[in-house]
Amino acid sequence: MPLIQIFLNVLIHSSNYVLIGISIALLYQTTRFLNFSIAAIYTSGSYFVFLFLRIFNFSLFLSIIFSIFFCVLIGFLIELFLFKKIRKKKSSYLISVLTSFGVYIILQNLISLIFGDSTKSIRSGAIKEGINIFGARITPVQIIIIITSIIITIFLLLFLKKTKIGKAMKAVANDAELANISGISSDKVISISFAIGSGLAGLAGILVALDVDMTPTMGMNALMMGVVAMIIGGVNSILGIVCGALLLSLAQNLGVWYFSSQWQDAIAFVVLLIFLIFRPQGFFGKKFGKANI
Amino acid sequence: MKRIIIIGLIGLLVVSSFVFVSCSKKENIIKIGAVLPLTGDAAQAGVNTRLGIDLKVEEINNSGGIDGKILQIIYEDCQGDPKLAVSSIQKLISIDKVSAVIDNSLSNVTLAMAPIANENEVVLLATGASSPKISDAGDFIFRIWNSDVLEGDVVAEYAYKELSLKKIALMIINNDYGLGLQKVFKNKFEGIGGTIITREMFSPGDKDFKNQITKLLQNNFEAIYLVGYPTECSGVIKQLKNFGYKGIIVGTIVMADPIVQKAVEETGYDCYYPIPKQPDQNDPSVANFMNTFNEKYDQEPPMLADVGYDAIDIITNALIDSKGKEDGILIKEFFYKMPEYNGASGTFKFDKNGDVKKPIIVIK
Repeated sequence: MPLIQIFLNVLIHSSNYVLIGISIALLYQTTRFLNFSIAAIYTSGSYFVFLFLRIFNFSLFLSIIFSIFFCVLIGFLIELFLFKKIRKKKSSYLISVLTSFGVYIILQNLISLIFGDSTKSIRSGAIKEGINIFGARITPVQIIIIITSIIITIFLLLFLKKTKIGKAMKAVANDAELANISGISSDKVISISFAIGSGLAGLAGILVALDVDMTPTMGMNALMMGVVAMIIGGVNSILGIVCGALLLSLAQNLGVWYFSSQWQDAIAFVVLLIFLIFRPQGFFGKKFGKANI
Repeated sequence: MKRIIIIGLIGLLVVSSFVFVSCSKKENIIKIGAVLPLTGDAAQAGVNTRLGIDLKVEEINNSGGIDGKILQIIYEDCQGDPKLAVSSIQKLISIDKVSAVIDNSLSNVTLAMAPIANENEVVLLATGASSPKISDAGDFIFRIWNSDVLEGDVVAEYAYKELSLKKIALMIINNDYGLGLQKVFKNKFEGIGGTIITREMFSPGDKDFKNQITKLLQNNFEAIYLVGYPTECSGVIKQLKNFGYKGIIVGTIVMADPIVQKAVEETGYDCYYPIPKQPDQNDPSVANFMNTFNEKYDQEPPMLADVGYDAIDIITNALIDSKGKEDGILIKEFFYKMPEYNGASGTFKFDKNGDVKKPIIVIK
């Protein structure tokens, strides 16, 4: 069993699950529904880079910065013009989820229409063999993916714990109305969480595309894995999501190893079911309860 | 009063259209239906086939038609959509009363129309459909294009005999297409003495193959037989390079796709794959087709024009054999017993499934 390679595979996959998992969790915490539009923003991230890099001939770094900016903008705009309006009408959970699903379908089809359905690539230079580490292989891009994810995760952890906005987010997550009464604008906080979540999702999409290219439908699978990681880890704990992502990708890797590769996705959902039955609040999650007055 | 006039006019219109339809089955015309994608994504294929069909129809009618009857093609544009194709073939059979139907290169369109053709005992002749499922689509379904499974056989033999590969690993897409080819390849390769070392699978639409490749590369083999669609194949090839794989890749006709070709070029792998052999241009039938096509359209025949031409020719042969009697069963029986036919797209003969075996070559 190639332990080092499996360890590296787990790190690469889970670093992506972490980013998309946190992105979904941020939105879920503040709005209390699973937002499918994140899947489309994830895809948009990589296609914006493709647009800037290949069509406007910007540098890769500049393209990534612009792309994340546009993802944040899209997230902010759909919150402002869509989800905020729905929230004001006190629409049900189902309507919110369906709306977000509608946004996903529209954006994904738009991407298909503009860029076509075939694989697009944003890697530069020739395809090279990975660096040999005791027989295991890892490419420089994959190392960058892992390091970026670690840095972003630590940064977010500190941001949510230490800053005023981070604390406000927690307050809104606990009880939006109560937060409003104590002078926190829940709309503002939700807008910020949309912006951060969208930026994160876009970045996650870009990092994956750098490694394994992109297609217009890549977002949905990523979203599913992010949701599984988030539920395993617990919605309100970033460390939990990190653990969830690690456990999920480890289970997938071992599943391929001991069973067969066509069971990869099925194994992810088996892990999810086990957690939903035995520990629905996740690794470190506390049971969510509305604050009683 | 006004209302009565309007109703009267509508009634007249309805009656006259009935009369028109029932009169339209003239005694001296033989009708053949053609359901082609003439607009939409697959339009190029349909338009090309149409050029070949028109050419042959013109030739036949100029030389006196079939038993004194003139051949007429009724085109229906299915836009590559199986739903539209189904209503098209229903219209062709019940209203136009065609004696046979030709369709194009989209397997799902052929499969959607197949039950209707079988039920009405009308021959459906596909010019470019390649799905293995068409072999079992029914007695009235024929095609003059190779089934995908045929290439599995050819590639397995080539790998063992020409490339001297003895140990091969499989990397297969987990659907009908992949599993069908895997079965054919495995049977042939092991049958002639090779060994299949291991097999890994991936799902349609997958982009990340690290887990599969990690496991695959723990085995010792000389080549990988890769079956998938362009998106997955190019991904697998690129990621194999990342993992430092140094062997040979044997593939399917998908490898001819520009996306995969680009991946092969960038990674520098030795990649072998099958393509249909171009018909011999010195053959009189092929040369005749090329010349007449050039005269009529002032261009070289594009892809799929030759099969359109041949489709009309063999249907005509069947109609001549039945003395101009337009009976689907007679056409079907003629096709099954037809000797080897030498046409514009090469020589072929239908087997018991209505399939042909045209020569395939393997290229690098």
